[in-house]
Amino acid sequence: MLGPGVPADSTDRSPMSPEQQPQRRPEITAPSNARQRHATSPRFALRLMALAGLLAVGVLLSGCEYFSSPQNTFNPAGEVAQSQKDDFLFVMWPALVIGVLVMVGVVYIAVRYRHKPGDALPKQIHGNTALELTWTIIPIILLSVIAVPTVQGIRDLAENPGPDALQVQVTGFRFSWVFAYPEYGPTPEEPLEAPNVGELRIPVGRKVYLTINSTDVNHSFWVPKLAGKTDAIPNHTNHMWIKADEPGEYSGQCAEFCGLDHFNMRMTVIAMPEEEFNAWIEQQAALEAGDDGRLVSNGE
Amino acid sequence: MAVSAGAMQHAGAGAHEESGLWSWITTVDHKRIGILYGVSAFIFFLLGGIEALFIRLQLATPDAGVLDQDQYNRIFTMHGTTMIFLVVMPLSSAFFNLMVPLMIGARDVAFPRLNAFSYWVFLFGGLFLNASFFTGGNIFDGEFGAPDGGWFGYAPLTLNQFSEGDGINYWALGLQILGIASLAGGFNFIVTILNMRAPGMSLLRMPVFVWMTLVTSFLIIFAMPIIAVALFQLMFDRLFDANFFNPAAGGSPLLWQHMFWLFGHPEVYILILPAMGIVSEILPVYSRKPLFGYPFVVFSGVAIGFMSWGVWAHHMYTTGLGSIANSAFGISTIMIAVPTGIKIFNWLGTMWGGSISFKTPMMFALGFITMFTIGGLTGVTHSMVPSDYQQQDTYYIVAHFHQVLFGGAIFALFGGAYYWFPKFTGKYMSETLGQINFWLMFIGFNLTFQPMMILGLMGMPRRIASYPEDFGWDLWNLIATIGAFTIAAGVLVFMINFIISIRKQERDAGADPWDGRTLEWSIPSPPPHYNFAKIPQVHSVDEFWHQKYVEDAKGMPVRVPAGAAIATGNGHDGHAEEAHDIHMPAPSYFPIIAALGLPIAALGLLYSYPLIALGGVIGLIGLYGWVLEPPSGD
Repeated sequence: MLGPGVPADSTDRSPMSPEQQPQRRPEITAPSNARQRHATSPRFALRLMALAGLLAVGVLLSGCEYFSSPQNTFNPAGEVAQSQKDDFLFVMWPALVIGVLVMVGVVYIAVRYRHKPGDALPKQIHGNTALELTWTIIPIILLSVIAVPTVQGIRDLAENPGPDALQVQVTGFRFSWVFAYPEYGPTPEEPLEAPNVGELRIPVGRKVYLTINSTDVNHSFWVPKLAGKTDAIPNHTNHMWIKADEPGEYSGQCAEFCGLDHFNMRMTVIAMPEEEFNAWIEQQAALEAGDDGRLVSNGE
Repeated sequence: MAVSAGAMQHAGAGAHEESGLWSWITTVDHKRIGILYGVSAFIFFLLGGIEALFIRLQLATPDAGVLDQDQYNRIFTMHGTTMIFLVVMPLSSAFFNLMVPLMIGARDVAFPRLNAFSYWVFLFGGLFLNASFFTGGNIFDGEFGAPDGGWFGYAPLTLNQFSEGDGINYWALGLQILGIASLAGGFNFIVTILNMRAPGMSLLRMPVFVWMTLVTSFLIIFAMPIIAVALFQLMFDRLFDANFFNPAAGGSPLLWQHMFWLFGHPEVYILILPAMGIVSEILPVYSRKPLFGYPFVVFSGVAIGFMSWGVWAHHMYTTGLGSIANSAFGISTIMIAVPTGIKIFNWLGTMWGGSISFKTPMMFALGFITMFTIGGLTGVTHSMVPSDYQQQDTYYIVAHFHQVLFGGAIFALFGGAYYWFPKFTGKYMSETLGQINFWLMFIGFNLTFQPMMILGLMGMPRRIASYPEDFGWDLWNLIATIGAFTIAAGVLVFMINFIISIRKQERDAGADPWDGRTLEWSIPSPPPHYNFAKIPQVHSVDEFWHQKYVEDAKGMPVRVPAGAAIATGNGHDGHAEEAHDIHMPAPSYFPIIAALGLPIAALGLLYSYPLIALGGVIGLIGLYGWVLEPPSGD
């Protein structure tokens, strides 16, 4: 045993056969109270870990209110966010199992192979190539499985949903967002701007194709319950699509640090039933045209 | 054996009696430079820790008013910058300096004065960076002038249009100065490790910590120039109206991100590989077994070093690089988990079948393995690119990299401090306080960072100075803040332990307190000025262990009789050279003079161009004196 003040084997300088060693070793161990503390400390650690685990589970189960948030990625309200949650769980569950196995393994090894008074030095194992190759190759195979949905997901989310989708131009600026509908302006170059800064209205159940830009620094468009984020970068146009399954208001905020009031660069996406949305946008287009003193063109 | 070692120590003390401030300023002894690195970096650690506590106080409750958003942005910028460049990197350097020459059987590093220069440049760079706090007006009124662009300094936010004042200038120039220190250190340790190993110590007989130092040093010399270029461009944009990153003039914000992360991801491994090396030294000693699969551990470290160059764009999935790039970087991120996993399994294999004692260094090593495993597995979740679009820039990421950099690097560095303390003082640190220190930090760590994982998944972004009440983030933030103060209590216990232990009179630890395996334990504690009275002849990995034990046919270790050690060539058994025959480099004040030129020139760039000339002249005087100085004053 290695106790403070008792350098290991410092008294044990005589040549000795391995058979003799077990009998001699207890003489050079630390005082018995130290030995006691040592022998129990892994068990104590085990209990402590079990207690912590129970406590954690207790907290987790003690009410979902602690997990409800208007920006909860685990409570998706759209196709994109749903697929992203599924993808996450696809990796999370195996990772959780492996993580728990490693933790249990560490504690098990620590308890089983703790130094006990009278222990001889253990066998000097330098490695085991077959075993090491096994724990190299198995992770490669397991991890390769992740690559499949990864690539698939990247392609799905990068898809242009085509002409059926509602087109929206998103422009980030310090410290809010302007949303505009190119299909509803007098010309695509003069899109119809949503009246309220930071508020985007979309129809439920229809894909919305966002074209994202910034006028100053980097921002990131993020409405967690609808979809993951896409950066708004000056001189660099990005795209993403979103789709809301249910009518409602979805909270989001800028996710790329953009300076002083970054924390307050919020947005709301209001998903409306298709007819309601159409009525609303016609009205906006009419107002816009009226404000501009121009006639509403036929068919718009 | 003990007698001759004692005599050597005495002879060494005669050659190295100088103490006092001047001897520390002029020292070129790698051990003293290591101590300087360690103490300075620890003071910066306290500074960065206080910044962390301010962040946690501000976020403990919704809509809190501890800091305003301007102060908050500056403090989180300095927290990140400090912890990476002024804490984890130099603490690793402290261990490189303290341990590498002792572990390879050398008397010093290859370029002792360059080593001193590295330290002084680091110190001046750190002070320069922190001086920015005073440039914002009255600091006592909370008017901080520190940089406000985040440790990643994304342009164009860091351009003059968006960040007035000198904060970012101090940041860019400070990092340039620190980069020079890192580069000098990197080259020094590469040359030291490749050229100054004791006879017989082939590359595959080096301790794993030395291997990881070598890999880290190569990463440093290739990564630092990249950030240097990016910082030069930023500096030109800010000071001379260049337009590298200015979108209004056609500059490219993505250029900055590519360069920053092409440096930044190898940097992550610069931070973690030395910690892995420390853990690979601690585990075998307290398990009383050799490292399981030494070649696998070494080569997985080398593999991590190479692969670290191919994963940088996983910091940029959401910037619109396109499907091909995202797929490629997603897959490379998946694959870097393989060598990392190998290390974890080999560490478990090292403990398996051992006779494990749970001294404080071992507890920190176990804390490292468990917390780093979580860090690694959460890292794998980042390779799932589509779901990472959700986690990018949330507290999930904050949790992930603190698992790696605190639960990983900092735990290992604390473990290393407890492990090697007796070597440099001849004294043990208190075991009781050590255990309290560990458990406070371990529990505090989990309270702080596991809730952050939940917060990230609940949609809380990073770098927000405040959050509203009705977002459901209150409880977890409060727990995280309680955890942060628990960590602080642990650090306080460490400081108490350190001070008590170092003031202790009796030197009770001896040369080899842990029945160690590597060469540093074969020489007296504290080591004499010249380390090894006779340069040892190396025959195997774990050379010192094999001087003490042989293995019988069944692989069981058998003590070598004390007298037989002579036959193995142990340097302290009779054949030692006379201590006065050993030529050690003389102290020199030229490195500190050369180093002093840099911050003065940097200040000149900001305030008055003649100061640049002054800094240049001072630097040149230092360099000239250095070059013309005779190599040894003895």
